[in-house]
Amino acid sequence: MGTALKVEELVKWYGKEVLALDKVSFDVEEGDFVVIMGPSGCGKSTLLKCITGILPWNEGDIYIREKSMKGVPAYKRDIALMPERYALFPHMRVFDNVAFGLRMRRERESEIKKKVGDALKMVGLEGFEKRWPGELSGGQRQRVSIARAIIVNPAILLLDEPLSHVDYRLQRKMMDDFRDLQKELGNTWILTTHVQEHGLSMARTLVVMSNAVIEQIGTSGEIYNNPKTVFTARFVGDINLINGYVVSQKKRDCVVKTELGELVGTYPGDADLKEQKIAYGVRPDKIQIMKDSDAFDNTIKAELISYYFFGEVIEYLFMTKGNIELKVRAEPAIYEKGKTYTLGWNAEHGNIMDKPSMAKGVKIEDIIYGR
Amino acid sequence: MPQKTSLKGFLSRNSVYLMILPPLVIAVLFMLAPTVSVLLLSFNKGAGVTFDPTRLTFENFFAILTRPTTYIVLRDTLGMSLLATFMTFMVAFPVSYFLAFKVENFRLQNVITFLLVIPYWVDWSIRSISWLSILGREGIVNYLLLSLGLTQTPIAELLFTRWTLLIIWIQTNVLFMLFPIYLALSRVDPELLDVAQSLGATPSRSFYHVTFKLALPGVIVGFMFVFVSTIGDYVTPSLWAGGLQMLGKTVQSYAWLFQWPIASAYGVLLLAVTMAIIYVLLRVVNIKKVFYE
Repeated sequence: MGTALKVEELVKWYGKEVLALDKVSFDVEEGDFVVIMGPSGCGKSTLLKCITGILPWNEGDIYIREKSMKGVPAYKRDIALMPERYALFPHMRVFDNVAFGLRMRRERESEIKKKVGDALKMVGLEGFEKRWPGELSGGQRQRVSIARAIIVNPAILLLDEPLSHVDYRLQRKMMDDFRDLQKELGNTWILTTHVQEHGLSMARTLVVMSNAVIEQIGTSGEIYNNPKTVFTARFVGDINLINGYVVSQKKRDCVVKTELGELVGTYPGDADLKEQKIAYGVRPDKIQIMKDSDAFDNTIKAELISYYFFGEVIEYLFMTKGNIELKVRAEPAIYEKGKTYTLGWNAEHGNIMDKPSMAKGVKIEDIIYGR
Repeated sequence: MPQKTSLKGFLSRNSVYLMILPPLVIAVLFMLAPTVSVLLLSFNKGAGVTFDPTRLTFENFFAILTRPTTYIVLRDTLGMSLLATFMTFMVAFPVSYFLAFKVENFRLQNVITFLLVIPYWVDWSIRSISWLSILGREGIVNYLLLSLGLTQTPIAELLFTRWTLLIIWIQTNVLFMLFPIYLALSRVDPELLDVAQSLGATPSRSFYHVTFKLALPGVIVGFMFVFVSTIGDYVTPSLWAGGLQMLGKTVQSYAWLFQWPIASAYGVLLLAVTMAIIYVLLRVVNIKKVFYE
């Protein structure tokens, strides 16, 4: 399998003030399903536009199937774009919308008719050929938009925020449909989202972005379990964060001095952290409310102050001696408010992060407290 | 159950009809009635201005349709009007395109639109008279030609030709073409062009298949405005076109001679030609799509 897309040190400025992409680099394998995830304004749409070729960049390069895209216009790139609001051509019926790419490639009408029929079947819109876009529901419009993009069989299919305009129930179904469709077609899909749930559940490769830079690339599990920066830890899932500094380090295992006392945790990088300020994080679902027989690397006594019901899990809110709140997610069980319990977690679940974010000029304290 | 017969009841039951009554009266009185009277008069014998149902005839139409001059006038009228409309489109489209796509600042868009409207504050006759100082014997164009040595004597033919008429028609009508096109273009989502290009459309093909096609209803509306207002115009051709005979002028000259039935027949001919062309235009493009979604 080759590389479908290579982005190399990409820099994009809007005017002289706004830096939208700051030396962004990453590779995408042929046939991968990539989700670029980040808050709105982080540069993910800009990145997509640069890959599409509708936006020029300032420095760096993009390679599609190992060919440099410098100066290559959008219509010569082997990509198809599905923009956020579907952008169906309002003056064309569904058939002509889907046929557009093939007509631009001057394929024969008989061939086009067959392919449009197949594409509409794939997205479950058989018999919709004669409809106008204005007569379709939001979900149907989106599926027409997908059919229009996949029909040209692009090397890379780019989908900008494809789930942000459909309702919650449909989102789940669309995520499944996307993955099935991608598996069936076998080409490379790259989509963006600002909703962490979408990224975590859909992506084969997840790219987390913030403020014009890539924070981390990996599988959902890698990123959830071993976030490299505080930004990633907070953006992907929920996390309890505590300030601290490293007392001793043995490869990846660190002992950290924090306001909760000495804690042990794991550092995913290989820098020497001795005596350095770090952030210590632990996911709410990794903390256990201990029974007598249990043994954990880290134990803390804390008072239960409240809880929130989430269906299968309950989020308990504990307060430790130093007035630090700890969130714990666990199966419903009977605990009393105001009573003190012992909480425990293992070293592998203590995430040690030495960088607040890959973006420059962000202090670790800033990102833990506030914002 | 006894029917309510009070005035209040009657008013409230028929409020919708009562509300459209005043504009209906005005429309019938000022638009429909004159048209119908012209239509009736064109089938009347003699020279009177009142319709006499006992003297119905096709004589007037027979008379005008057997004259060779009618066809020459019709050809010139249609030719000039269509040419003027097309030229107006050629001027208005790039300007509307520029306004809709290249001027990103919304306030600047408004300022430019405002500047474009200012000349329309003065009457069209004054606006067209200003061409005297440009195209006249001592006008700017002649001055430039003389001082550049391109001509020894001032060119008189700049004024009072069919080309003068064309220029003045373009100038007096350009906004009626520009605004509908601008309206249609400003509703075109730029994302559509991104998608078109990502699907393999070159800039020129995405312009034709997306931008122009979406602007087409606006073009048709502008086309109708300009075409209708030029084809029936008799004042501008009388003033500026030299000896060029136009259908509107013919109608006017027969009316001047109190030949009402013949004038009416020419009027009906003009109306028929105009309606035929507009019918064809509307068959080409669905005008409702100007306001799609």
